Amino acid sequence: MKRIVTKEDYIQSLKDLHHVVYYNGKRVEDVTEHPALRPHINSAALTYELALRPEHEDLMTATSHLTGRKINRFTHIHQSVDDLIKKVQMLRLIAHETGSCFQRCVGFDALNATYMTTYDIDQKYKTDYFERFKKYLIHIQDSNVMLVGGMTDVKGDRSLPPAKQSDPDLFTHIVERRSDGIIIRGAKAHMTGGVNSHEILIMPTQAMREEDKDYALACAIPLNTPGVVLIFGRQTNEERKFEEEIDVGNPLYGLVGGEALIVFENVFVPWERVFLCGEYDMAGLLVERFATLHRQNYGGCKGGVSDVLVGATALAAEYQGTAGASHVKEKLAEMIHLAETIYSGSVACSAMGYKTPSGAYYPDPLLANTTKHNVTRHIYEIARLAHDIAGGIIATMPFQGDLESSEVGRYVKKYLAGAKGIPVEARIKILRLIENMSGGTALVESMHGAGSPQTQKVMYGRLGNLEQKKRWAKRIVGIE
Amino acid sequence: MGGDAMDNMKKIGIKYCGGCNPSYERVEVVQRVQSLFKDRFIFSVDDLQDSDRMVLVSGCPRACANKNSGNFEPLSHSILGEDDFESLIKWLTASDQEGG
Repeated sequence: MKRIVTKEDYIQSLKDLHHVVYYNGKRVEDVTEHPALRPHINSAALTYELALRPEHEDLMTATSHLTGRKINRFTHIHQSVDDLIKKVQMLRLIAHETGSCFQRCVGFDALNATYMTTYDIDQKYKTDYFERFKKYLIHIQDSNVMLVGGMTDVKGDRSLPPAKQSDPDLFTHIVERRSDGIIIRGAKAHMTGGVNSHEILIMPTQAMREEDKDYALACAIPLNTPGVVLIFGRQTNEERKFEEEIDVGNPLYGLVGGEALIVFENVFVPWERVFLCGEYDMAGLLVERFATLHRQNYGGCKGGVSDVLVGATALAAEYQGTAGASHVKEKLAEMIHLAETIYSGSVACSAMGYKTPSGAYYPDPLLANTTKHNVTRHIYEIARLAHDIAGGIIATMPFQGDLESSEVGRYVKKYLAGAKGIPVEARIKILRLIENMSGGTALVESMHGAGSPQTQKVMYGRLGNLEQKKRWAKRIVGIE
Repeated sequence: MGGDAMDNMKKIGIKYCGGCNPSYERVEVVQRVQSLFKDRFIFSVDDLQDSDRMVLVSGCPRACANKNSGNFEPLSHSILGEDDFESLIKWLTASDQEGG
């Protein structure tokens, strides 16, 4: 595949992919021309475009440890603590440009998690997954394709393990082992950036037991492989994307990542792209590593998105004459505090990262989980404060069509006027951006993206070392 | 400007930090400087090792642009915020007067 360098290369590569995508029951022939998908494509395209700008090159690019070539950081394997920190910094910077999710971190984390875990699998089972994966990694780094990190299975009855489900396909699994590869079936849910990626790196969704060994699967396939079907998910207010620009809120970059259900209907995967195949006891480690690497991110990207929301909220206050009120200043300060708190968590888990046996660096898992857990709370509070300051107008504003109407436009301009000298259109644009960034799908993504809060609490139980904490307490008061 | 004059102009390399959370518009500041000195220096973000002088442009006091700038330490000037604009102008003016 021709190396993707520019935004234009990326968009053309999606046109050429001819993968099977459905939106609201209809096949999408060209994802790049579809108004509901284009904002997500624009957002992901910035991961290519910013890498070409000298003022961002230091964060957006890296040197491959395998080839020595300059690569996009989204295809890099972390070689140091500095790399881990730069990842978080990069996410914050891109979020400042998009005000939305740019999707490419999921595949980035899947690459790193699979890299370090295939090494460990080989150590235990004398397999050759690591060598296979390094060849695959070079392909990703050199082609610069966008990768979906495919972890979350649809899971059916959550009280039952994969092999006990009434429908065996509710967890993605190996259907057949052949001399040239395997056949897989199942589906992955909530696949961020799915419809505008080139390939998917499939991983297991949870720890597995022996009876689940056919579900212990990691492999990679191009999304135009026969049998792969992508179904785009609905979002809050997504019909706005078909309308004029103001009411969309974030007209260029949309809302969160653009998630899809990706179905695998008897899909062939050649052996050279299979990285875990039945070694069920290693599935949990791969899941934990991916989860940690992904939870590391959230103070970076959501911190950056929050910066934009704080700015929009401050502007809304200025535009309607409330910026001088002490309670508004106090609430803006609180929003900044919350945004910096989540960012500091991402930096901290990176700074406390360490080298794995594979040589790749890994963030501190307890701190990464804490960071993501804070995001599930703080983003809601930041949004609540944005609503508080912006006012009820974000839920009751007339349409852009009314603003531009020859009949009622003059009323909208007259009665939505704010502080002197501020165009009504500017005020409406900022309020629509706040609406876009602070409600519905945007919030749910902060809650459940990279795992629901309960999954982070499970990790506290495993990593929190309660026994050591008890020993410290006993020592202080002299209990033997 | 003729080719000879261009050949005699010093090359000023511009090295940016990554820009994770800059406190000012780094590119705008550089563009302002470039427009002021466009007849005196050639500014470039490429082939920095070939530069006669280097401007290290960071978005905050962490000064990430200064990392790995070892060879240019005596011939570089670092800016960390908009307030450093004036000092950069002075440094470039002095560099221009030094000749060679």
